[in-house]
Amino acid sequence: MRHRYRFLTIIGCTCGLLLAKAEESPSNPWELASRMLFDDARNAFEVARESVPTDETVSLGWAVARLNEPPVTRARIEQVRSTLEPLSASADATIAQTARYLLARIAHTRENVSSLDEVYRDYLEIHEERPTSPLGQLAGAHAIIIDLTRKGASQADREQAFEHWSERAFRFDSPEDARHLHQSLAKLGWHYKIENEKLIPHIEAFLESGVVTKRLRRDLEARSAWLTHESGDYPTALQRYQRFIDNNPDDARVKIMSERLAEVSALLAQASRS
Amino acid sequence: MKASSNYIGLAALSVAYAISLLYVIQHKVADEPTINDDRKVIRFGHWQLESGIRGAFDAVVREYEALNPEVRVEQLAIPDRAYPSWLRTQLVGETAPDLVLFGGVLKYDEELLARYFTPLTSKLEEPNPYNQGTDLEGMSWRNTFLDSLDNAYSVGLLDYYYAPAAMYTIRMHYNEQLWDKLLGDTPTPSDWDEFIEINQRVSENAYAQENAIMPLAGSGYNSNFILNGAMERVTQRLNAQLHRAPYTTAERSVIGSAWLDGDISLKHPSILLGLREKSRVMRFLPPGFYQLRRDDALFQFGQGRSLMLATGSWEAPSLMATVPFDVGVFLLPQPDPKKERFAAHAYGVSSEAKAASEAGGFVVLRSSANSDQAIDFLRFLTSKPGSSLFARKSSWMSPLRNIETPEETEIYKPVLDGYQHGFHLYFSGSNSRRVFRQRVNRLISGGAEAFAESSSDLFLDGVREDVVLESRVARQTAQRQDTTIASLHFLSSSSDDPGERKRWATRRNETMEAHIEQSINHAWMEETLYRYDRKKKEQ
Repeated sequence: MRHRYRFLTIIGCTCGLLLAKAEESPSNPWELASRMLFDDARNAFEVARESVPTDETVSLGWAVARLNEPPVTRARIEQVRSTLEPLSASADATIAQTARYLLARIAHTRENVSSLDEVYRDYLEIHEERPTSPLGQLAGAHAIIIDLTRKGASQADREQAFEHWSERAFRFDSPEDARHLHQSLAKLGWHYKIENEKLIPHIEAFLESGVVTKRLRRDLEARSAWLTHESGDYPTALQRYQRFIDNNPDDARVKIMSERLAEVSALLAQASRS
Repeated sequence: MKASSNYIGLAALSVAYAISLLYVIQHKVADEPTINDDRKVIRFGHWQLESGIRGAFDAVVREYEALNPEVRVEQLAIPDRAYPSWLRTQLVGETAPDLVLFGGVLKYDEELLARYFTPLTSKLEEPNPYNQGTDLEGMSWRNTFLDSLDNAYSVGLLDYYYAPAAMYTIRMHYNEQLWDKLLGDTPTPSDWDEFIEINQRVSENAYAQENAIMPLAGSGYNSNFILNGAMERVTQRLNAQLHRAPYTTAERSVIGSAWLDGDISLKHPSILLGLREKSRVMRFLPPGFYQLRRDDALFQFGQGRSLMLATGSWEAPSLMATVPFDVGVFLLPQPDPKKERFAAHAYGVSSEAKAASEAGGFVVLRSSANSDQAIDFLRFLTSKPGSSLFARKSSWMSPLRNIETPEETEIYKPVLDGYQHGFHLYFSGSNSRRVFRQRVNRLISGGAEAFAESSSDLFLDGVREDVVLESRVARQTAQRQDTTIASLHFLSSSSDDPGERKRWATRRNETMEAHIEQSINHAWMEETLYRYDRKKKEQ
């Protein structure tokens, strides 16, 4: 049974790759890789590589699948790196950027580097070349993560790094162009207790850019309302509590958010009377 | 002599072999469709051996087969202890059933899901055809569940994989006759303090009457419903404070780092209060309860050797059918924030709004030859007619909206109007739990303060190990996402169809969001560990 599927997979993906199209069919090796079916994807790319050995797309796909195919060994990572290195100079911008990004990821999380400075520079370069592209943004996010979580840094150092990246993130015309920068700053700023007035704009910008993960969106809406309340901006807190309740009527937090909303309303009513 | 005994041995072996062979052939024949039975066969596997559950599944199967005469459905009920290894063997041997119960005794494993099972996301967004003519008609299959399966979504795989056939809550069960005998017309407790008082009275009575009746039946499994529950209630405010907002669920990385950073400790007022409440209840559990198993607790309760048993609604029908007395049920007592000692720590009754998602459910085998038919059966099982029938026959709660609850299960209905709960003592992981259990006697004999004083350093060592493990898991998850992101990026940039491009881009963005969350968790935990180790070295 399994062999039959594998056979169909190989036939399907070879045809698909020859046509250089991303089919929706589950036999598409890129889709197999996206679903963490690493060895099936790698097999399919290998079959395709026999027909078109110099195709950069196929080589990239093979490296992408091989990167996480168990057992992940040093030798396999080395194989992947040697495949990605020439691709990083490809004339195709997407292939080159993907290869460079993955090389940075290998150096960052799969090798024992003594200093993250070089990895930071690689991410920064990828980000600065195409800052609004998805992988450019993701590289920017990793640069922020390295910058704000440096071991031995003081709180002042982290606040300075936060300010620096905050200024860069708000330089873009739309929050969507810096959505992953805002996401990283919203989360790291929260971990490192950056003051609410500086943190909340990033939560809001990330929400405005269109957070896809529902659970993350719910948590950010809750946090934004809560921190706005803490900051003493009651009229905005009121709106944000209401937004949470309206957007998430089945959430287990509706009760407490409704109570906090009532608290803020009472404070505002009291203020308007006096 | 020696030769003849060899022959006897050989003969005995041959007979045993022949019997085994016959047994296997008989079973094989029984498992195969009859000669004239050319129906499609759907098999589903589960571990629900509780009384009445297999019968309830059978009733649904008969109903489904009547509607779909070309299909035959078989259930495979496997004991819970053997279930995980049985399933893995079946998956590797390519003999797994078409539908498999996931969650509960089977630890959540994204790699297992990705490799062997098929995502149900797109199917769950379509209406369930078996809801036609009911008030759930036209609603997406996902939205027919009580919490729209919000918490069943796999953040790592970006898909829904299962649909639950039932949902469960935890309640306190008591022996009504024993209650009357020991406590007369005392009502069931409405809060934590009344609960403690009742335990105290039963305990004193046992001492005075020289009987061996314990207030609570206990095992390592059941006791946690009360003990961890107590801590989770008195850390509600602390949890919101640490997350700087009420959170969907507490994050292990946040709690673990809070321990290492010293934001919380065993001497923190909320933790100390939780420890005090835990130690008060532990006195009412049988000696050595952590070493006892779930069955031991059921046995104690069934024999009338204890008054109360905390367990889940999944156990209730079996319990009520097998014990020789009437069983009463009440909500797990919770600290009342109106009382002074709880006011600064608890918000109030905990919400059970996530009961449907957290129940686990059936997943569909990717390599099933009849996966469409298997999904169709799952739709029927979780439709209003199918689920109502299952609930009626099993006395388990339906996870669907708008289904009338049978009177006997009314008390198990999830509390929706409640608050987020906090976290229990060893929420950060198994190493802190190990330390706690090794030193629990100090809590029982010496009390909360003495336990906190003597166990803080060891407990922190346990938490440290938990954080190391959690950080490693976050790093591995982020590493795996590298492949997913690169693949989705390629798919989103290479498709000619704008709709397809958008679909892949949405999935890519979602993976990127999860990837950044994991990467930050990893980096932040590593930095916290660095700070903690440095501080410890300096001391």
